Amino acid sequence: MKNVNEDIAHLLVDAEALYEDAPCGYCSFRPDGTIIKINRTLLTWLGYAAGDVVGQLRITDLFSKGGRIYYEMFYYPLVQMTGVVKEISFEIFRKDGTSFPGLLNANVIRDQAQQIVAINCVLIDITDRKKYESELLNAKKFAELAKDQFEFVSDYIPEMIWTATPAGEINYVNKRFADYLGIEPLNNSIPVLSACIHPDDRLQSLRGWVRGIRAGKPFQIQLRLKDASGIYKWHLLKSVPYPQTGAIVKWLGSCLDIHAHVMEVEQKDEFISVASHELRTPVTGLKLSLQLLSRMNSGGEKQTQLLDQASRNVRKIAGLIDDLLNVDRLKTGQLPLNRTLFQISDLLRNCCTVIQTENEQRLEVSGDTNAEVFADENRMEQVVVNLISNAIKYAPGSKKIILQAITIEGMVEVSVTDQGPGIAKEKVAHLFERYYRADHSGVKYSGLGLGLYISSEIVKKHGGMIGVQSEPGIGSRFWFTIPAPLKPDDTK
Amino acid sequence: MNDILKRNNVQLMGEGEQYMIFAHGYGCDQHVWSDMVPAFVDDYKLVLFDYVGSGESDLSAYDAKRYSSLNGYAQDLIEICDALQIRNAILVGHSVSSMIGVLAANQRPEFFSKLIFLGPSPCYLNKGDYHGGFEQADLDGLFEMMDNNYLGWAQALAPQIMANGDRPELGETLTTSFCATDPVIAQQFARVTFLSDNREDLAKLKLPSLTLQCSSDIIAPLEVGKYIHNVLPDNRLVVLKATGHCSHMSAPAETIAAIRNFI
Repeated sequence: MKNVNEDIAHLLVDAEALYEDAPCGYCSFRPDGTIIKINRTLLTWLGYAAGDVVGQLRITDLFSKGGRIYYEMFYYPLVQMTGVVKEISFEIFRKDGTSFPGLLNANVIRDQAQQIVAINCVLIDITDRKKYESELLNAKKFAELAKDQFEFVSDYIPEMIWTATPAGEINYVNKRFADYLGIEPLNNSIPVLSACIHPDDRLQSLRGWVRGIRAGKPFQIQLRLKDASGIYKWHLLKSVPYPQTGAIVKWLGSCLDIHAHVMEVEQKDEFISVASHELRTPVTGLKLSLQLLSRMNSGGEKQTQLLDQASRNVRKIAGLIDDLLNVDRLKTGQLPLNRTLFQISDLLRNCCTVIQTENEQRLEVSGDTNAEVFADENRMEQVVVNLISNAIKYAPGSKKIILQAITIEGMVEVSVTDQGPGIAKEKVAHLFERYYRADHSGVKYSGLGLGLYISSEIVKKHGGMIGVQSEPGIGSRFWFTIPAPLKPDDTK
Repeated sequence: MNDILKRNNVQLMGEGEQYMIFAHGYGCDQHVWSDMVPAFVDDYKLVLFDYVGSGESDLSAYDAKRYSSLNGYAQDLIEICDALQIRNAILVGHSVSSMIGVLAANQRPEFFSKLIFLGPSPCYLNKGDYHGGFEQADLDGLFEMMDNNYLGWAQALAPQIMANGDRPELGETLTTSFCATDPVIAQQFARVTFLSDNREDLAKLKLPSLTLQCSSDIIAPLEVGKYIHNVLPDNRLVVLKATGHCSHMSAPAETIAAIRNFI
């Protein structure tokens, strides 16, 4: 074995063979360009015999006329000044007049007086690389064209749109957006843009931006932006990563004026705040009066019936006012939680007995009956009752409504599933918004559009999440999660 | 004044009375004069500089409009002379700087006493009876080559492959192989240089001049040297033994001797 290796090594280190048959061209020439040595590989490429070249041709004879100018004006002065020149591309001409693209590397040999004696060069055939290069250049041109087209089109649409790098640096805003903000389209750095955000929203918006970019998923931010004349208006900044699967190449986004909508909601909030507080006192008075009247009731059948009816309706009114007050408290952050440890299945069964008496639909409780939560029991009941009431109200054809509690990954998930008509996809996104009602006609279903909003705020306050899966024609499944309490052992 | 000197990276050397200005050619910078400097530094006050867009000049001072003709470069030279209050200087111009020198001398003859041209050409293209040495196709080949070398691999592609241009130092390393010249500027300079026709300006020159002509210089053929000699009223033509286009680098001794002999 050892001998064989030595034989091979001997062949490998044969410097002469290496020089002559290297996979690249070698040649040496004098400062005036006269070629004094050339290897076999290069001779083969060029189609010359050694005698045709050595002492006969100058290096520049292998170049086009343009190449010769380039050599004299750039290459030679550079070789002189730096001693080494790397990777300059020349078109190299063969004996038969055809040519191929080559890459020329050169370094100089100097004598003791530092004068250049000769220049050694390595020539690489880059025919294939040139093809890739031109393909890449074409691809680049194409991409630039596509970008130009995008910017051209986007400057003429009335919406405000923008793009950002994967790291979240805004690199384009369309003309409409720039005009609105009163900035130069190209001067769209984060500092310039953040100066357009209302000071009260700025920190929150920038945090939301950073969080959204890091998460790499679609996100939106509601913020006030200053227009060119200095007036602030509410906007919704939406962003989606592109492409939707795989590594993000860029962010695309829009910016929508939602000022009127926000103002409308604010006015409603204000009205409700005032109205609910004003209504509470007289309704409480009315409730007390009715209670007194009931006690004083002498027992006439008609009287009892009317009193019961009046009491039921007063309870309903009180309930509605409570909802309104809840909204007000939620908005101002005044919803204290009175947490206790209890079994969620007990709560679900309780809710069933309360509601089932009045309705034909069957309620079923299933899942993890031992699951415990540490939460405000009354508020939890409010949420569950709300979800069940909605199921009864909006899925009247559903024979069964299933209540389920399961524990997953440290969270207790409670769900209410019906077999009703389901909810249209475009409505799902808005279900948990304030004052949103799935049916806008206001004829078929009554209500303030607050139930799910209040439920979602209560759940969020507990550190949980709320959501819905719905399939038209099959049914809806509303769910919420509450963090499971630490085991009693852990809490000690 | 300082602005101009800084803009053009002007270097002053030597204690002599008379100014001697060295103007580099296209594609290079003042470093090309390193073999010339020792020969003249004792007797003259040497002025070396980089044209705006070349070497270590202030690239931000580059204005595509100003430098869209050789006149813009002549302005650089004039402004430097003004800033240093130069009179009766010897101007040594290599290649395109010969014609830049002619343009400057025609505008402000008081700056110069003698002009020395190394490999000059008033017009590179063949036009009618005039033989400049090149056809348009030859020059197109040069421009294409420049595009390939500047905009092919080095400029357009490498930064993209290195993702988002996050590593600009890559581009910098590559362009140091090109005399630190900005590729866009270099290309404009090349077109301005090779497509200009200064034969009429040349004919207006009154100052004495020396043409140093290399043998077998593809860029400035002997015919062109003879043309210049015939057009100018006071021109000496010396044909050097040196070959190529850069005798000041390839044959400094012969070049120095010829210059000394003239001045």
